[in-house]
Parts: sequence; structure tokens; C-alpha cells
Amino acid sequence: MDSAIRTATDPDNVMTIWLDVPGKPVNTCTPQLLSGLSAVIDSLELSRPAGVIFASAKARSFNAGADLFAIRDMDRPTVTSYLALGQSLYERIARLPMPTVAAINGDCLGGGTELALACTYRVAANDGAISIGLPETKLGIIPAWGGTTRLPRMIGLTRALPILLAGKTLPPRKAQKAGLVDEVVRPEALLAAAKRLVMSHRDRRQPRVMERLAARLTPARNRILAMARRQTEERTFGNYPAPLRLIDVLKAGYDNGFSAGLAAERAALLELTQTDACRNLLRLFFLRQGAKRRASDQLKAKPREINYAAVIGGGTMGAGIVHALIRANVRVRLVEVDPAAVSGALGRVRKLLDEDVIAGRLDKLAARHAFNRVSPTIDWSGLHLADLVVEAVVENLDAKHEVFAQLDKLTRPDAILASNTSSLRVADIARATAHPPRVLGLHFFNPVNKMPLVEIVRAPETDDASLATAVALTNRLGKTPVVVNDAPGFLVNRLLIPHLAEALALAAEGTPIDEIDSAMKQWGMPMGPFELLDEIGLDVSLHVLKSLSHVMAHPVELSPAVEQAVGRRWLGKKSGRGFYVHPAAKRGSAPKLQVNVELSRLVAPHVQAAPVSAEEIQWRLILPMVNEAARTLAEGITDSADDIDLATVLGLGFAPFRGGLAKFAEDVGIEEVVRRLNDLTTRHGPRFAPAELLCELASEHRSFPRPAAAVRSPSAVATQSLPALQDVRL
Amino acid sequence: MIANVNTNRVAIVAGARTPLAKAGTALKETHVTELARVVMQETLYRANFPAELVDEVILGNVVMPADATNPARIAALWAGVPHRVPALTVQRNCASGMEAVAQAAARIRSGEAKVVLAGGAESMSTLPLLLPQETLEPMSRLARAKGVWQKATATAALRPRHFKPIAALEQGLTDPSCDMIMGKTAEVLAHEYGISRKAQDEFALRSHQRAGAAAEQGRFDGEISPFYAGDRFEPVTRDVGPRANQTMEALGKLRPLFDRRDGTVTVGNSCQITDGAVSMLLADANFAREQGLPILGYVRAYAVAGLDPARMGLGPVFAIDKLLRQTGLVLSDIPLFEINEAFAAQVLACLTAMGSARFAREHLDRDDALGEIDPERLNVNGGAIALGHPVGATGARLVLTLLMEMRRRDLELGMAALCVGGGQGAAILLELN
Repeated sequence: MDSAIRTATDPDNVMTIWLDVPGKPVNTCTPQLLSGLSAVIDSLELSRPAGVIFASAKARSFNAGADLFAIRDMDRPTVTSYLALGQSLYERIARLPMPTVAAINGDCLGGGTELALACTYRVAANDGAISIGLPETKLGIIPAWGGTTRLPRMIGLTRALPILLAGKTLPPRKAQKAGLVDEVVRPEALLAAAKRLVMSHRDRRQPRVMERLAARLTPARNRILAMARRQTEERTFGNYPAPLRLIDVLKAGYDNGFSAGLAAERAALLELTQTDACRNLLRLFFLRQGAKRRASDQLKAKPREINYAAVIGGGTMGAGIVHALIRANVRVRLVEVDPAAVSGALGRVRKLLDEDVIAGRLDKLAARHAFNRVSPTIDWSGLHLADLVVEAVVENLDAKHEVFAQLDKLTRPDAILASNTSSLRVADIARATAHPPRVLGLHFFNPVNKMPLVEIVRAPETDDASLATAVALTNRLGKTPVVVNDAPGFLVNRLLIPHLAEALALAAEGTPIDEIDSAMKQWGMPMGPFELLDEIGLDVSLHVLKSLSHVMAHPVELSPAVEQAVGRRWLGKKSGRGFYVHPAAKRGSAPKLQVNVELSRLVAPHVQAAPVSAEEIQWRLILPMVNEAARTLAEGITDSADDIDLATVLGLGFAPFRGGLAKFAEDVGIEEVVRRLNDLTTRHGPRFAPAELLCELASEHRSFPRPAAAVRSPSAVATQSLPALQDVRL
Repeated sequence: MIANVNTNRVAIVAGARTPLAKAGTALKETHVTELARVVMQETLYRANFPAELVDEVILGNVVMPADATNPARIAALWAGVPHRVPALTVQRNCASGMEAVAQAAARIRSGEAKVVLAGGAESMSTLPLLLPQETLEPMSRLARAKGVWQKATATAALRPRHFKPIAALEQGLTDPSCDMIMGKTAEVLAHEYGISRKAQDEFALRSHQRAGAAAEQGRFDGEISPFYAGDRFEPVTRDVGPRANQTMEALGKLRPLFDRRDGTVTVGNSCQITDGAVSMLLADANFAREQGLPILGYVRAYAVAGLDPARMGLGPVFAIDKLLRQTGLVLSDIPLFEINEAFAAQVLACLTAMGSARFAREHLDRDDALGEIDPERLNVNGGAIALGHPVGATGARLVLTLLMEMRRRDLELGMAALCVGGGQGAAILLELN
């Protein structure tokens, strides 16, 4: 077997240790890599080089951390020893007598970052596409190869806490600001800079004096940790054990010394891997990694290449889609109705690119090149070049027909015509074309740059080649594809409708909307239903609720209050007033929202509600979604509960620690779900009547259908960084 | 024997231009390469032709900006033209844009290229203020100075005159070989050909009226692509120059600019200083047909002539003469003309010279006059007096405007010509079928 490690020593006696896991496009901390490293470190104790550079032989990947796919297949004792092996190896690296440096040329995550932290210095290539950090808490675990213990001792406790707790990864420039790396240099100079650093023999980075003091003084330290704990509890409602355990580990390390910290890391990790949250988060990670393959396995065609695209309509969604495409090197012809609309659309695209620049994901020059990939038109010329057209005009069938009839004439016959519709049937839209097999739905979520899900909608006539191309493109855009069949609302919006409708019904009975929202956030939703309605916009919500009402088993009884609110231009966040009063946005602070009392009065004019418990609210708002999910399975909108889990988490931010909607229902037990739905039916009416499929599954003691997941590709960890589950929001 | 039977025909496949904006107005902050980038992309999209298949980019530009030497290359790269496609900036003063088209045509005719993206661009708003050359030495001494004493002596060497700015624009419009600013050469022609102030103003007025009517009736719609300027992407959809309310009285009130006391040439009867860019896709006609590309018309021939720099305004006469000889045509064969309106006096002098047998004998080695051009067939959509003269772009703009009008009128032939500072003239012959 090829070794994962190669070494080379230069005339100045500086040794470069090349990390190169054989047969993979990216490096991970495989047991093979660790044992290879271990052997080299042994030899160092004899050969005594002047300095050591850790470098990666993979393009754009330093080390993506522990190989989660390998860990998944390990038994517990193997995990324990793997863990100990890594920790002691990194500890030996940290204690080497000569200076060491990590030359970070690409993604450096988890165990990769912990290796870098064990080095004396860290230098990264200046490339905004590189992610550096410790995303472990996003998977329900903590960095346990010394990362938790080392990071605060290098950059200071108060600066390390947010990085560790949020599991956020940073591009090189931001990582440098945070203290994670010492220098950021042009990519070609990476090794030269690494060598300069080891030859410099300068001191390893230390926290600032005040930081050191704060960490050294027990009362100050305890206050900092207590505050972090409180904030974490407020944010996560105690649903995520990992960040809280992480704080315990930090405390142990400071109270009882470095090696106690390492021991606490190991203990905490083993404990956390046994939690439901961790299992669910890991499962979602694997689902997401496998999403592309799952989607393509259903299709019997090869994707075609997309070089030129056109986007029809440059509103919020259109501009977001343009931005995603140009970031992925696709040239975009942007079609708008008039020069004023073009002006607005270009402004929106530029703003999204500016955000990338501010966040360090993109340098200014790359942003300019990206922007130059957009060419606007008001006369629909140039569409013959398009390999793919995405329509993002108003949600109105006539308008869509007009667009697709035009596209039918103006595009090549092999161009894919996609609609970003969220509530219309793709097949209905496709009727306007002479060649429906190339028409499909490409449903992006708002805001496009933050939402990782794309529903790829297969109409009855859509051909596999078009779908396969859409799947490949979605992946290229860094998003997760889920292929669904054509039905109003597809999967995500369809599941959302009964949730929102029930929230309105509950409010109409007199339950205060902030209580409802707060109950749902405690349950694990990123925002409550009324915050969500305000975010989407009451006008849009009303339109969607109305147009999808007939699809529900029981038509939505919509409170007239919503219509009245829209009449008063209370449209939610965008108009400053909806169910809440939204003060003008201030940068960086999220002010506590005040309820719009007038609208609450309209929703529940006379009723004085009997107090409803948070648990009652939660069941009433979640079970209708489960019910609807069963119907989508029965109707064949999707054939896999895995896709429901993925779509609800990535599209709705559905409590990731619960593993998704279907998984949650199974954890509750289908029989229990049916029992509770029956109970709700008696108390609140037939809209809660359990779906046939649920009753069937319950009586046969079966769970949801989950067609066998395809065998993972050996390089599945490949290019994607870990999912940003806690970032998910609508 | 130069003629080659196997030469390829050169088709114009598509074209687009920015609105022309008077310097200091809508496009004042836009870099010349950005102007060119936008029209290049627009042209490719209008032709539905991928940038990947372009063989070369040739762009006319007069005042190449210090931060983008070879602006053709920079604009092409901004436009997403692949790295392997070479790009050339050509400079023949006011004929630069036409020269670019002609060079593109020559490449295609000879078979060196199948498809060339050509055009011209100029940002006259962004012409810099310069410091005198003599400032360079004390400044570089200051930059090299080490220590307080050296710095102090170096600073002390700088004098107020070192900081007296020079407008690059004015300098650029002056021909050092005859030490005349362009307007002065127009005064020479006005005097020698007896072009009165009134005749010049009337010509200018007509230019505004025609340009205004053309804009009103949408005759520029086929060539203009809206431009979205500045950080706020302000839409610029029309040429800024034409004044619908232009009158003889208003023109009459203007003082002569180049000879305050005895002159006749004013800002009103001269071309405007303007920003803008034009681009065209030229292709081998057979290739265009094979690829199913649209063909708007053909470039048939091009000629450049030289003359007395002090009378550079007569350049079109010499160039048209040369082009007619080259093609074996006579002036009356051509039903539509564009002659760039650098100055009303200069265009009127050209018309007089073309109609003069004496001029023909003395300067053109012809026995008879070149011929008359019916004013109704000249600059029918106005010219640079109303639309403006972005120097590097105008030559290409004339080609595009002429071609569009030939198509509208279904005329087989059309000719565009310009005078060129430094004493040259350029003329191009287009055909429809």
C-alpha cells in the first residue's frame, strides 16, 4: 500500500512532511495517515532537522479532518484508540524540539486544524475559497485532538470561545484576524513563507496580556465561562449538548491543567457520540454528502456541461440565482423588462458579491470578474447561447407561459428550461413550450446565497438528461439537490403550509403569537411561524397559502386577519410591520421584536384563550407537517423519507438535532404519532385526521420508506466542507 | 497584381454601442475598458456567438489610459474573452475605430482569422491632468531621498511651476508638427473655402435636428445598448448630446473658440467631447453562413490617405478619392454617406473641395471634380456635432450607423469617412449583399 506520508529534507536541514492520502482527492486524518505521521515523528527524534513543514500534496486541500465515513464503520473500542492515537500524536508534534509550521494550501478542518494548532506556526494561502476552522460542534461533537484545549491557549479564551462554540469556519484572511493563522501569503509563496517562519525561531503566538490574565484568574475565567454557557443555552434552548460539554472541557483544562483538558476532550467526545443529537447531525451530514449521488442514481443519463445560462427576472430570487451562477464561473445573460429593472437587478447582484468580499470569501478582483460574467438585456437577445435558462418572474401562470413561449422560440432545442416557481405546477408551465421534456423546476430558497437546498422538480415529461444536468449544476453551485415530483408546493412549501395554517388557527383561538413562536424556537426551529411569515412577507405568504390550500386534505381556513393586514400594507419585515414591528435594521444587532398588537387583535378579536402549554403548541404545529409528509410519500412527490429529512432541515431549518421531520416522527413512533393525531382530531377537528399511510405504517409497525442509500463514493468527503446546519434559516 | 481571387468576404455579424455621453455627464466615471467590456459582451450575445470562438480582438483607442495600456486586451479579458485570444489596440487618432474594423476585415480577408471582435472606445472624461515633464526629476530625487536633510533639500528643489497642471485633452488635440489645435485647422479651411459662420451654424443645427429626429423615431435603437453607469447602475439609454431645442440664435451667440476675435468656429459648430464605445463582430462570410450567424452587411474596402496636417479636415476628400480608385467606383455610385463632423467648417470644406475641378487637378491628379454629395444623403441621422465624437470610437460608430441606415433604406452601398488629426483621412466602403 502506498504511504500517505512523504518527506523531503532541504540543504538547510528543513524537513517537509507531505500529507498525501493515496487514492483520494482530499486529505483526511485516516488511521493510515496518522500512523504514517507517527512513524515520521519517531524518526525526527533521531534525525533532528532544523525545522519541520507540514504540507499537503493535494490541490486545494490541506486536511479535512477525521474521516467521518471511516469512523462511522468503527466499533467503539476502535474509535477510542483512534482518538487516543490522534491526541498523543499531536501532543508529540507540539513537543518537538524544533520549530514546526503548517502550510495551509486548502481546506483545513477539524483534525486538520488541530494538527495546525499543534504546530509552532500556521501560514495559509490567500484564497477566499479555503475554509479553516473547527466545525465539530456542528456535528454534535467537540474537537478532541487537542483543539479545544490548545486554541484558547494560543489566541485567548474569549476569542476562542465563539470559534469553538459556533463551529464556524473562516476564510484565510478572517482566520488570520481571529488568530488561527499567523500569516496569509500569496499561494505560490506558501512553502517559502513556511520555511521563513521555521527559520525565524520567533515565539509561538500567545494570547494578549489581558486575555492571559482573564484565563489565569479563576473568578474571571469562571465568569467568562458562565456567560458563554448562559448565552449558549439561550441560543440552543439546551437542544445541542456539544457546546455545553465543550465549555465543561475548557473549564476542566483550565482548572486542572493541560493534560486534564486533553483527557476531558476524549471523555466528552465519547460521551457526545452517544447522544441522539450527534447521531442525527452525523446522519444528516452523510445524507447531504450523498445527496448528489442519490439524486443522480435515480437518473439514467449523464449531465451536460453548463457554460452559458440565462436568468429571466432579476428580483430577489433572480439576482440570488445570478449570483450563485456567476460565482460558479457560469456566464449569465440576465433578462429584465426595462432599464430601471436592470439597474435594480445589477445592484442586487453587486451587493451579494460585496457581501462575499466583506466576509473574505472572495477577493475584490475575483468579485469583479464574477460581476463581469453578467450581461443584462431588455430585448431577450443572446438566449441561443444559453445551455440553461432559469425563469424567476412573478408567480403567475400567464406570466410564466409568456416567458416559456418566448424561450421556446429563442433557445436551442437542447437548452434546459427551468422555472424557479414555488407554487405552480411545472407541467402546467411546460405546456407553453413545444418540447416539455427539457422543462423542469429548479426551486431555490430565499435568500439564495444562504439556503443550501435546491428542489429539482421532475414533471411527468421531464427527461433524465435535463434532470441529471440540473443535479450536477446544483452541486457545482455548492448546494444540495433533492429531486421531487411535480405537485403544487413540491416538498418543502407543501410541508410548511399546514404548519403556518395551524399557527394561524392557534393564534385565532387567542394564544399570543410570541408564545407560539417561542415554543417553536425552544423545540428547535430557527424561527417561529410568525417570525417566518414576517420574513417571507405576508402578501407572499397569503398568496402561497391560498394557492396551495386546495392541495391540502382539508382546505386551509384562513383567518381574514392576514388579508386585512396585507390591505394595510403590513407585509412583514420588508414593510417594517407584520405580526411584529420591525425597527429599521441596524448592523450587527438583532433587536428584540415587539408584537404588532393591532394585528394580534385582528387575528383573535374576542377570544380569551385558555393557556396552552408549550408542548401542546409544539405538537399541534409539528404533527400536521408529519401528516403532510406522509401524504407526499403516498402521492409519490418523493419516495424517500431521507429526502424529507434533508429537505426539511436544509430548506426549513427544521431542528437539525432531531434529524429531520421524518426521522423525528419515527423517533416518536408512528403509532404514537397516529394516536396523537387522532386525539387532536377529536379536540380540534378533522384537519388533524392521520393520513392513510401513517395508519397503515402504524398498524403494520413499519417505518417510512427509505430506499437503500447508494454506496458512498470513496471520495464523498471531497470538495464540500461540513454543512452549516446551525446557519440554516429561511 | 494585388487582387486575390480567393480572398474571403468580410461580413458584419452584429454590433452594439453605448449611448454617447458628453464628457462630464452620464459616463464620466466609467473606465474606457469598462465601456468596451460591456459593448463587446453585448455584441457577442446579439450574435449568439461564444467568446471562446473569437480569433482576435481589435479595438481603436486614442488616449490609452495609464492604468490600462493596451485597453483592447484589458477590455477583452474583463469581457470574458479567453486568455488565448490575442488583443490589439490600434491608434490612428480619429480613425482608430474605423482602423480597427479595417484591420479586422483584413485579417479575415487574408484568412488569418475567421472571427474578429472589433470596435473603438474612448473615455474623454477620464483624461488626466498631467504634470510638466520637468517635474519628474525633482520628484524622483525626493522619492529616493534618505534622511531628513536629503528630503529637505529635495523638497526645496520643487517650484510652483512644477505643479502647473496640463490638460491631457487639450494637449492631445494639438498637432505639434504644425503647432495647431484642431479647431485652428478648421479655421484655416473656413477661411480658404469661404465657409461662413452662418453656413457652419446651419450645418450644426441640422445635425442636431437630424440626430434628434433619429433618436425620436428609434433609428438608433438597433445600435444602442443601454449602459448602467456608476455604483448605482444608473441607466443611460440615449445619446446625451443632441439638443432638440437648438436654434440659430443660440448658436449665433457663441463666441469663436479658437480665434476669439476673427474666427468662425465655435463649440456649437464643432463636435462634442464625448465618452462612448462601439463594438462589432466581423466574420468570414462563408463561416458566418455555415454557423448560421446573421449577416448585417459586408466590409468591401478601406483606404487611408495623408495630407497637409494644417488642413487635416480635408482628409475625407483624399481618402474617398483613394477608395474610389481602389474599387473602380465613381462618387455617384454611392447613395449614402457618413462624413464625421469634426467641425461644420471642415465637412463643408470637404463638400466644396469634392465639387471643385481645380481641387481635383491640383490635389487629386484627376481632370474632373470628384463629384457632388447630395446633403440629403449625407449624415442623415446627424453627426458628431450633435452626437459627439469619442475619438477612438467614432470610426466604428460611423460604420455601425451607416450600416443600419443602409439596411433601413435597402441601399446596396454606403461610405463612411473621417478626417484625422495629424493630416490623414480614412474612408470605408460597405455593401449590403
